[in-house]
Amino acid sequence: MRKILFASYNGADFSTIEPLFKLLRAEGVVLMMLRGIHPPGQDRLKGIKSFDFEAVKCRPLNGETVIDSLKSDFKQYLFSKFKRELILEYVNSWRRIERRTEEIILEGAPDLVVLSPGWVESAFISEVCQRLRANYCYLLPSYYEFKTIEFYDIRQVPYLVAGEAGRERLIKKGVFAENIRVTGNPVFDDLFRFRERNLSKRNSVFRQFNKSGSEGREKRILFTAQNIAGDETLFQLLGRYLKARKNVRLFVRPHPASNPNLWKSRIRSCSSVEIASSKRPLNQDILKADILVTESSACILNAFVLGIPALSFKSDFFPKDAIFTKKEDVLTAENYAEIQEALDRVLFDEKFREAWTSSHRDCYKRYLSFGDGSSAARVTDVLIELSKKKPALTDLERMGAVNNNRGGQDG
Amino acid sequence: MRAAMRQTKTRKIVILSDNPESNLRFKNLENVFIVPLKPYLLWELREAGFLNVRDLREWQVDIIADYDDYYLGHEASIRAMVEERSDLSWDHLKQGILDLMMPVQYIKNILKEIIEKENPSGFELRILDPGTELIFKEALRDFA
Repeated sequence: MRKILFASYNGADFSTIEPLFKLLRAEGVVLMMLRGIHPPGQDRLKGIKSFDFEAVKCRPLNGETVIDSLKSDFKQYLFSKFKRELILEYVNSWRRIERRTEEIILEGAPDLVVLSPGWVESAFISEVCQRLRANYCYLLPSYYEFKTIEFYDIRQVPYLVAGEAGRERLIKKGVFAENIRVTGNPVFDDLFRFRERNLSKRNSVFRQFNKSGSEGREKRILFTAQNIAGDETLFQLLGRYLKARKNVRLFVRPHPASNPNLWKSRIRSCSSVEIASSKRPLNQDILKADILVTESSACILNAFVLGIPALSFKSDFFPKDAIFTKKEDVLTAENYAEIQEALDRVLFDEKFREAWTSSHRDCYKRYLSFGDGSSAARVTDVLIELSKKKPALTDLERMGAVNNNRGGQDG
Repeated sequence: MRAAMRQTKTRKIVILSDNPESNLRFKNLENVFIVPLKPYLLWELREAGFLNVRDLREWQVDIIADYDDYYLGHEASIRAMVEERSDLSWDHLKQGILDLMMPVQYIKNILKEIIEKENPSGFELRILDPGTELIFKEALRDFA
């Protein structure tokens, strides 16, 4: 009986692994879960042996030693970004993660540890796996392969990704090509199923509307906020657009981590603005919209699959990792004039809209290799295969092996 | 354009600003140019008749296609700086610092170009966003 331990699937990342549980159980795999920050509720972990980090106690490290090792000018900058207590807390919680992972791997003896690479705790867990010779791999949560910069560490172990674009980005980041498996991601399976069920219905409703005169139909803009400083700027610019155009409604979908009351107070005086609850499925909101407007949001990918034009706004000059799209796939704007031009074309120029929609019908294929609903099965097969393998060499051993081989050749 | 500019006795000063209100008194001063720190402000100020507004990207040395280029272009120099400045043994904290310093390094390169090409007598920060202010203050430290 094989055992697989999942770790670091925090918050929304959990939805990448949840559809796998049933399939893995059917193959007789025992499932274990290391609960991290923002873990899922117990109801979603039924039948899974779960562990958390809090159970372990370790003597707090003297964080001052770490902090004192920083030079003073650099320290000033660091502390202006992060509070001293937060740094100490981080340092100590990382140690707790290492200790706890060690305990779980020694006691639970998993055949494979599956990690989400975007969280710093994964870097620590991967070190423990290397030290204890435990097999591990990275199964990328949806979207993460499009923002690989947040990876704390690149290790030469298997990576499971949703599409070729992610594969290319990982190779650019230093992962060996032979370590990457393009499997698709179960989260996108859901998206494609949603598309199958709803897209034709939506198009026929919209066609009906357009036949009876598109001018009369209310145009809908969906703005997905990112919980960043740029949100307010973009909201103000969209507000200016609403004042300039009739029959346009703006739906603001706050970021799940933001305070919804903040948005309620922002929209109080705006009659053409509504809040779209972030508890509702995102795809439903996208499908109801004529255009998605956002700043560097990964939900652009959902819009691609659902055939909704997307406008990407850039509020500052810093290149962002989350803008993963090719320029030709999205409309872009960085000021009011460009926002106005893009919205006018999509909302009021039927010819432009039709041409855009038809020429971008398949643009999601650049980013996602599969839309056949079988990603969960493919991921399951790969995980079972990996769990049967012998633990890989550690990076140090690998380097040693390379050096020894070189030595042998030289000799 | 020159006729519209107001004369000042001071040498050239660069105002780095994300604050539309504070820019008013610098409007069209000949020896002052305003560099908005948000792209939308660049357009707003030009629309409002500011002739002494310049685009930060005028001084961007490298063409950056995407974030990966930006990251890979700066990674080595920042890593070297982090290594040089501290004897941290915490690799992951170093990685965090690396991410944190990326925009600082990007701005530092731009400021260096401004200094070389424009020879300003100084920079003034008029920044509302605390995060942006930190980045620019840190970037300016080397030029103080």
